[in-house]
Amino acid sequence: MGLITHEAVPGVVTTSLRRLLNWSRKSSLWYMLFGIACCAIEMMATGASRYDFDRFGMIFRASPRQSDLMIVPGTVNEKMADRVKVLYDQMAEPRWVLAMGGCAINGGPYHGEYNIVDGVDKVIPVDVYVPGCPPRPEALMHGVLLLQDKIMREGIEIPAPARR
Amino acid sequence: MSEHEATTIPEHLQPVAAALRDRYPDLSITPKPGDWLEVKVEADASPEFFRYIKDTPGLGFDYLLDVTAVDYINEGKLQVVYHLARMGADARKRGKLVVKVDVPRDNARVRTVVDIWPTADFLEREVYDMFGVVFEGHPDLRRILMREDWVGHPLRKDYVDHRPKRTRVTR
Repeated sequence: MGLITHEAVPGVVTTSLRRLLNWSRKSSLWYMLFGIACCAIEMMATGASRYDFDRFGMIFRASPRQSDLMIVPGTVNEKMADRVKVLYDQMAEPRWVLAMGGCAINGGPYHGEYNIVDGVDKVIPVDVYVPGCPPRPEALMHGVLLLQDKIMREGIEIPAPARR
Repeated sequence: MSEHEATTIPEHLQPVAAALRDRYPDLSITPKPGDWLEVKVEADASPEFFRYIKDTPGLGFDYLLDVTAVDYINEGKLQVVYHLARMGADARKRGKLVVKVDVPRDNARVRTVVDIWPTADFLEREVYDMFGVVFEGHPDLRRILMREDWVGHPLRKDYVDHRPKRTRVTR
């Protein structure tokens, strides 16, 4: 894939290694086996054979210690917010968070209600927001592709691809 | 009462109404659609009443479907609502029973029915959590849905959200 492309420029090895690292990280986004509401059903559908997350090198891990990506699929209520934070804190760096669906983005249909945290980004930092109620598997996969682009651009200057 | 509702007690529920009036002659019994009978009971009379409708052979309401409450803030009262039914082959003959108990909003206390229907344990805890109705004699009256340190009872009409405003977390 042409990792080392500019042999003559100083510092090129560092940049290329970074790219290799990013490429390996984006190609094996292991996500946490974690669902908190109905969006989780759609996430499971995306993981199953019809849409097949495995194509992206994504397999679910039942432990936050082994996970790179936390998909937050559903409503975060006040009780759950603490648990989400604990799970996020247990994940090793580098780690990413994808907020799936209206509830995880800003509370969605439950915005402003008494027991609802209006968006998981009030608890943990979010990298990609995927709107929908729930988002279709295609939308979730699109979100993952966006995240892969983001990971590829981490630490290096690469122009954002025109097609996305 | 809407015009669709029956004003007279259906024939197959007459024995139930008779058994209720047998002990409580002044009880107002209102028929509702779907084999329901609705009665209103005073808070201090409710423990005996519930014991009576469970243990009397002609009534035998042995299944507590739900305990909930309604906040009538303009009238200054909370209404605790019990839905009761009967298990078994003759269930339809007995119909179902709604018991409504009014309590003042500022001192909402009723006697627990856990000793009569054990399923009331969690149901009453939920009503306590959401409305702040204290069920006297309940073995374990704690919040069941909200966090333990929650302030206030969310389904009361005058509930104020005390949560501090959260800001967006960034990496």
